Amino acid sequence: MALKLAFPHKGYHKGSATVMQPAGTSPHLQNVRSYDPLDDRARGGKRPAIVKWSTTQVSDATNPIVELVSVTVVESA
Amino acid sequence: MATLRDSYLTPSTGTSKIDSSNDRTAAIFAASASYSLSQVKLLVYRVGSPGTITVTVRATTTYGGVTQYYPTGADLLTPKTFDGDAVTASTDGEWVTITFVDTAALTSGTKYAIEVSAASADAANYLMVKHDAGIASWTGNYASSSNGGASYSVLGLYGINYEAYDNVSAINPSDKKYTRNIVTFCNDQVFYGPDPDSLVELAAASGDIDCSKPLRAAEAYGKVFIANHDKFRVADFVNVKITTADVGSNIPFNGDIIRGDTSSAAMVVDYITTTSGACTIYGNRISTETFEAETVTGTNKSGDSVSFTGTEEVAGPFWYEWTPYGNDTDSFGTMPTYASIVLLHIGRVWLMADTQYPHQWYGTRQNNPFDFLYAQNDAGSAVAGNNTDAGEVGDIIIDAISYSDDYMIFGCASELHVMLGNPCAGGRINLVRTSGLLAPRAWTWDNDKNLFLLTDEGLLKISQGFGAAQNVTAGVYPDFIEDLAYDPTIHRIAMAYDPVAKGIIISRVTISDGTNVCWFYDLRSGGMFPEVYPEEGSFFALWNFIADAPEDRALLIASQDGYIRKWDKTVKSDDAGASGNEAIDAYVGFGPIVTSNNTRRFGRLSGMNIVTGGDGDGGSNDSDVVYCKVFMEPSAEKLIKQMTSGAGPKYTRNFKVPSFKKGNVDRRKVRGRYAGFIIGNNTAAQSFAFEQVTANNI
Repeated sequence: MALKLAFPHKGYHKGSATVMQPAGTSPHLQNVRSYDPLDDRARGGKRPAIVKWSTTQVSDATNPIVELVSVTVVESA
Repeated sequence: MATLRDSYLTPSTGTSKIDSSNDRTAAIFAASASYSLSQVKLLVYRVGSPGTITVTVRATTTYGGVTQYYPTGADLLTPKTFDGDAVTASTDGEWVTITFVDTAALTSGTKYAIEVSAASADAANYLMVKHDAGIASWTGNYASSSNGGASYSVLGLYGINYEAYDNVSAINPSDKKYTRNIVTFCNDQVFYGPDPDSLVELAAASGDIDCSKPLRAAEAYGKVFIANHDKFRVADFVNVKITTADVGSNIPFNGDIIRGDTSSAAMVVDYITTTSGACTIYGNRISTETFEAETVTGTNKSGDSVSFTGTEEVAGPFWYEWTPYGNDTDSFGTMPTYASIVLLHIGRVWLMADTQYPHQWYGTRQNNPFDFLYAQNDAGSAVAGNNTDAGEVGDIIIDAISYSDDYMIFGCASELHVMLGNPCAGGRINLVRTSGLLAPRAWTWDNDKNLFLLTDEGLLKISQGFGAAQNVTAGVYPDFIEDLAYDPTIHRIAMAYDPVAKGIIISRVTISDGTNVCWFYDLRSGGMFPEVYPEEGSFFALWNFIADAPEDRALLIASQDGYIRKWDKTVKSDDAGASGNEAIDAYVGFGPIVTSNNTRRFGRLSGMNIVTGGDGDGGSNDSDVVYCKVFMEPSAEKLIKQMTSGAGPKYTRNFKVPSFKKGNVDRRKVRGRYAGFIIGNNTAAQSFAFEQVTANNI
């Protein structure tokens, strides 16, 4: 009997009996997503990485940024 | 597009013949203004085939004592040629356009020469440059030479037909009327800017906020309003300011227009610091003229004349205390003493989380965030919960959410309430659900206007149009909230919709060290995916920033180490700040899989293979090595425990080659009642995509 398994797109699941793990779910996973970052396909893969958006460190390393907001400024007359 | 600056277009009957390589014909004209000449037009026709025609622009000098001019000196720009054989042979002539590769800087009132020559011309092949028949009104002239420019004859009452244009530049439309800035709050400092690599500090804010206390900010009317427990501040990005030693007896009110008597500059007044004596006036200048040190006048809403002596205007951004208008509590009410929730809804700026009155909410007058005079007899009045029919909320407010102009949701400690409509015009508050919002920021919208709330019963989805709440985690992860174990004294929750990944990010970070537990709720598949990030990059706030530059648009992460981060699918290791790049420990478990039709018997598994993404050509979309741990246990529960702990795999195998390769198949046989696999990769600068697992179950 051939076994073929696709990525568990329905993600983490622990809401059922262990012998009845729903199809398309996983009991244990981390840092993976349904759409892979290599080719944007719905086949599963490692999540994308985080990188610096700004090279400006707006604090020393002991202080987190506590709030972000954007403001749109209309150009003056 | 070139702009015509000078010309002579009188109907022409005369001509100047260029039938020798030594012939020169020059149109003499005075520049009507100072400009950069880049293009000329001449009215010409040919006889025979005159060949290449050269056009240049030169300075001029007067001819003897009379006010007639002829070319002199070097070319003022690079001469340009055109094909004389291609112009019309009709004696009516053809306007030929000559666009130079560079420009000549002309000075207003100075005379210049547009000079034409034809190196291959002869008696049978020549160019005719058309001019008028000689009229008394023309004060210009043309000059001609038959000896290569060694000397010229001038004809004062004749004018060559020409046009002179200024710098050729495309006039492209621009729809850009605004700039979007990101604003950060960190280390009791504020930074801002549209460009990620040139954020600048708003120096006046330094030390004037307290980031150790609850702080929220909201954009309204080109400004950012900050509620920071007992500090209320404005970061003003839209106004200019002028100051005066005495604002006078009649103050300008919010929305009044005042003007500079000398400069004619005008501004719409936004905020003033006092109602008497020395005062700073902030307003949106609506004129191109700027305010000088001058008398400023206007008429205020009461119909009284405003007049004061103002200073020269100063450009923002500004940082100032958020108070009732003019600090006049008699006329503009009183702000709460404490608040740490601020938001914009139906044109009002709202304040909540008053530690003295935690059920209370406060809203400014519509379109005036400096008017707190509650309970006036109009629909736009400032309003507070204890003086309306809507009343206070029946629970402590944790956070508030604006949903269009129809609803404002109060996320309370143990209930969700909604305010419908305008509380000053028939609005009311309804109880939505008896579950509490877990934390400030524990909510987000997706692009379809579905609202997601992290509550003490799980992740709730309220569908577009304020439909019934649906608990999306109750079935798949019943103890999600219990396992999340959010403790407001040590944790912070951040949530946001990621429009690129099309899912909801949920983060719980331990404030002291940045350790974190995150979840990605995929809206396309409906799956919950746990994630973890480096402490330095952990999420203290999230903001979907629609930057001006497409490459800067991203869901931004306010990180623990003072950097703003984003997701980048082209990168395979997490940026961990001072700790360098960190491998992403990624794995996915499959199972439990029953290996036998009869659960009383063990089955066997062999021929294991993993097909990963990529075709193995070494391209960037090739998967890297993945490991596979194969588990076999007599019970499903034991199997899951082993998979979770990582203990006791029957074997581990690395699958090195992406795509399907025959040699990848592992022939080992394993025996058990339930099978499971963990497939993953925990190597820096590596990633993988997954196609499928295949095996033989025998």
